[in-house]
Amino acid sequence: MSDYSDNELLQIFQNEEQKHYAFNLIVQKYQKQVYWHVRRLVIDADDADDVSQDSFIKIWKALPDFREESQLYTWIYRIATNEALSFLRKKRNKYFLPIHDVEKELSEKVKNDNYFFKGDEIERKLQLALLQLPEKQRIVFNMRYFDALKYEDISTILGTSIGALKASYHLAAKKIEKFLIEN
Amino acid sequence: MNTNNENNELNSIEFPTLSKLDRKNNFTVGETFFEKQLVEIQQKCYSQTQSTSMLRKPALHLKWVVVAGVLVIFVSIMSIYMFNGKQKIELANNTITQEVQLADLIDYDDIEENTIVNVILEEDTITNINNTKASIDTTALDVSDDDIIKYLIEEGYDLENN
Repeated sequence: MSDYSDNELLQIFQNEEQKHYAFNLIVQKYQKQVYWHVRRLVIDADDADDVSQDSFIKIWKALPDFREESQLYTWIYRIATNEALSFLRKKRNKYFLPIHDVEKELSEKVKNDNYFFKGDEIERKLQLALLQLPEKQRIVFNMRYFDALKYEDISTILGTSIGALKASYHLAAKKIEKFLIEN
Repeated sequence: MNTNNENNELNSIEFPTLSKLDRKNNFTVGETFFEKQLVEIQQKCYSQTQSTSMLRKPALHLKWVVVAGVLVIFVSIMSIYMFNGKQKIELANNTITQEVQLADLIDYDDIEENTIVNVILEEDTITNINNTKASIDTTALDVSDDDIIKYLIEEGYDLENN
C-alpha cells in the first residue's frame, strides 16, 4: 500500500517521467476498495475483475485531465460505480430480460457460490436481501454499510443530496431487516 | 472515509437483526488475485498508450488522404460540370450564329412562291434521275451483252447504222 497522500500521488503523476510509477501507486492504493465495491454490485468474481480493470483503464486515460476540484478517491469511486452500473445495464439489455431477472441470476450465484462467498447463512441472506433492493438503494447501502463512506462523499460520488441518501439508506435498511426476519 | 458509528443509524430496536451483523466482506478471491490484476491493469493501460500513440500518426495521414480524396472528387465533378456547361453554351451560341448567318443570306421577301416550288421539283427530278440511273446500273450488271444484242435484233433495231 502506498504511503503517499492523494495530492502527492497527483503531483508525482504530473511529472511525465514518473507517470507510470505514480499510476501504479494509485492502483495499489485503491485496487481492493474498487474491486470489492464493484464485486458487491456485479456479484460474479470474473465480471468484477473485468469491470474493475476497465475502471482503472478509464482512470488512467482520464487522469491527465483530472482537476483537483473533487477528491481523487471519490472520483475513482464514481468511475467504478458508473462502470459497474453500465455493465449491469448492458447485461440486462443483452438478454432482453426485465430487471429482476438479472438480480435473480445474481441471487442464484450468491446462493450456490461456496468458493467465492465465505459468509454464514445470515450473511448470505443479507446479500440476497440487497439484491431485492432498487439499484440506487443497493449502492447507497453498500457504500455506507460496508465501505463506511461519509454521506458527503457518497453525495459527491452519486450526485445525490445528503437528505435523499439518508432516506435511501434508512429505507434500504428497513427492507433488509424485514427480509432477514421473514426469511 | 467515515469512522462514525453507523450503529446509531441502525439501532437495535428498529433493526435487531441487521445491527447484530458484522460488517465484514464475505466475498473472496484467489490468493494472488490482486497481484495478477495489478500486472494486467498495467499491461492494458500502457499498451493502450503505446498503440494509441502509434496509431495517432497514421490516423493523421489517413485524415489528410481522405480530405485530399474528397477535394479531388469535388474538383473533378466541378470541372466536368463546368466543361459541360461551357460546351452547351458554345453549342447554343454556334446554333444561334448559324441561324443568324442563314437568315442574313436568305432574303425571304425576294423569293417567289414559284421559285421555291421549282427548287423542290428540281430536287425531286434530280432524285428521280439518280434513282433511275442507279436502277439502270444495277440492271445492266445483271444482263449479258449477247442478251442485249438479241433483244435489239428482236426489236428491229438497226445495229449497223447506229
